[in-house]
Amino acid sequence: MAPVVKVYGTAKSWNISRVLVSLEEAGVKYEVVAVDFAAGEHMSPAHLARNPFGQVPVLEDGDFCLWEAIFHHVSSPSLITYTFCLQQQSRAITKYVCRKYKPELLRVGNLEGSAMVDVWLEVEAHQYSPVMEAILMEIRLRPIFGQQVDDRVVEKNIEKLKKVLGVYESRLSSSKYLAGDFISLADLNHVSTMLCLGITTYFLHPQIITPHYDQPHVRAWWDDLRARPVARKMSDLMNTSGP
Amino acid sequence: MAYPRVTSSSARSSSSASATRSRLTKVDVDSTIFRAVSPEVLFFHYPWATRVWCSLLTLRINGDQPPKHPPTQTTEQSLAPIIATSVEHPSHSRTNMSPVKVFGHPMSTNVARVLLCLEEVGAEYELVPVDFLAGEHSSPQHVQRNPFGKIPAFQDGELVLFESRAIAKYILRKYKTADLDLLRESSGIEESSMVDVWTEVEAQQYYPAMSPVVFECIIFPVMRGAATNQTVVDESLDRLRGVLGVYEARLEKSRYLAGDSVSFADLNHFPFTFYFMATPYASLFDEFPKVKAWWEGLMARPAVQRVCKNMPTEF
Repeated sequence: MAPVVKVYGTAKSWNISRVLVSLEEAGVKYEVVAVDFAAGEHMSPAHLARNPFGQVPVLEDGDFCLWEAIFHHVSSPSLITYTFCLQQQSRAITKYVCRKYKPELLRVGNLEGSAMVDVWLEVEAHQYSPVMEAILMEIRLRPIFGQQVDDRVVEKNIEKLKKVLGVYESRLSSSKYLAGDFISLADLNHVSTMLCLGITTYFLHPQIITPHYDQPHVRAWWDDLRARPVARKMSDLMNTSGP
Repeated sequence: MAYPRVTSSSARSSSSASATRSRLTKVDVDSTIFRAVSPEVLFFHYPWATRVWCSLLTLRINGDQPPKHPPTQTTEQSLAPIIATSVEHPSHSRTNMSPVKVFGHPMSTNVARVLLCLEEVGAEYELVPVDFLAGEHSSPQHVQRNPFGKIPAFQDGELVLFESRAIAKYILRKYKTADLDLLRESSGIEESSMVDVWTEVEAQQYYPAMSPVVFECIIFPVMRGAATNQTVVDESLDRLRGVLGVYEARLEKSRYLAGDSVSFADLNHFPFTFYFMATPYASLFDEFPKVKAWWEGLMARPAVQRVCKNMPTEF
């Protein structure tokens, strides 16, 4: 029986779900093990043995344990800061999953194909996600902690988002998926952040959805991704898992 | 305005033991004040700053004529952008591959990242300036290469790439040999994953902690005449201290970040750390002896030394 991959964290958070999307697409059996931050479980000896920084996600694959060092800035140790710090740390893990279980998602062995995948992985990491996370931080996380949403931050980032999506539109006008005519990890890494739009109180907020839907090729690409079984499964997991 | 492109297609001098940079064509810089560091953020987030910077600088490029001054092995802060091809790596023959092109300025941290990888693998390349003053970064030609209008952009034959880490990885894969695999992709998944992890750590933790110090101490004062915001500096140094503590622990166990020999993960740290060392806070590294030794080891690398020559140390 193949060893089960364990992911420590909660599916609701978009960085954990980024890892889960890659596992689902690669057809790997996995188990999500919740880590109870409220109860301090992340600092328990058992979890620290997995990740010396007491953070998630952590992926255990047989004997191999992979985490990304997360440096929690302890000026405001509220849960909102934890979640914010965690969000960037899943990409090396998703690459590991693909390399091991479904290397075609990275076009391993193909010099040009893998370069195109890398380009759009970087775009997702440095252009798309920072803007989306700034928006989601305001509209998703702050209300949970009873904090005031800063509309100016939201507006500023929506303007940036429109520019980024303009580039995506141009790309997707000549290419079915981001890296080429094949789906890759570059496309999949967007799914978790975009799914988070589906579970916010701003679900139908035109300001957030419209930049994506205004661009016909971006919309078609997103509809295609959303139709994949993995997106439905992630959506279900995110809606049912704990906070 | 068409920007003349210089290639160092001049006859290659026969290599000699001392001619580590014999193939440089030096571009004259006519400027009394050339005090700018230009990490990529300047170019896209502060376009006005870039125009100020460019207006301080007049480049005279001698097309096919010999340079006015002989190329010098300069370690002072001559800020002449250098159109160069790297010296062939002594143990690899790359003459069968045609030169690749990098679009951008060698002082830019992201361009430096790409140049470092090219130098490490001994690839031939051509560095093509992008004239920000003339708005070339927004021109249709450049936007076709880099749709975000940034630098670097890269071309190898028909293939055009952007995003410096993606470009760097392409270079490291293309020029990989049995002895030189800086991504460790032939070494097995656990090793290549470590390279991925520490590459992400640099991008997502190290850089965000370190960069505000460089901006506050160098870039903003130089570009805007702004006073340093000490609160931002202090908070960033605090955060950076935490980051370096983790690095220290890592380097206790492992000679380099991703294992016992250098990899892409280590090289990624070079460009911004180089500028950090020009701030008043370089001594922070003294608190972390393993980190400091690791950094000094990186700086001693011949490829790093070659890239450093085009990056200012005083402002």
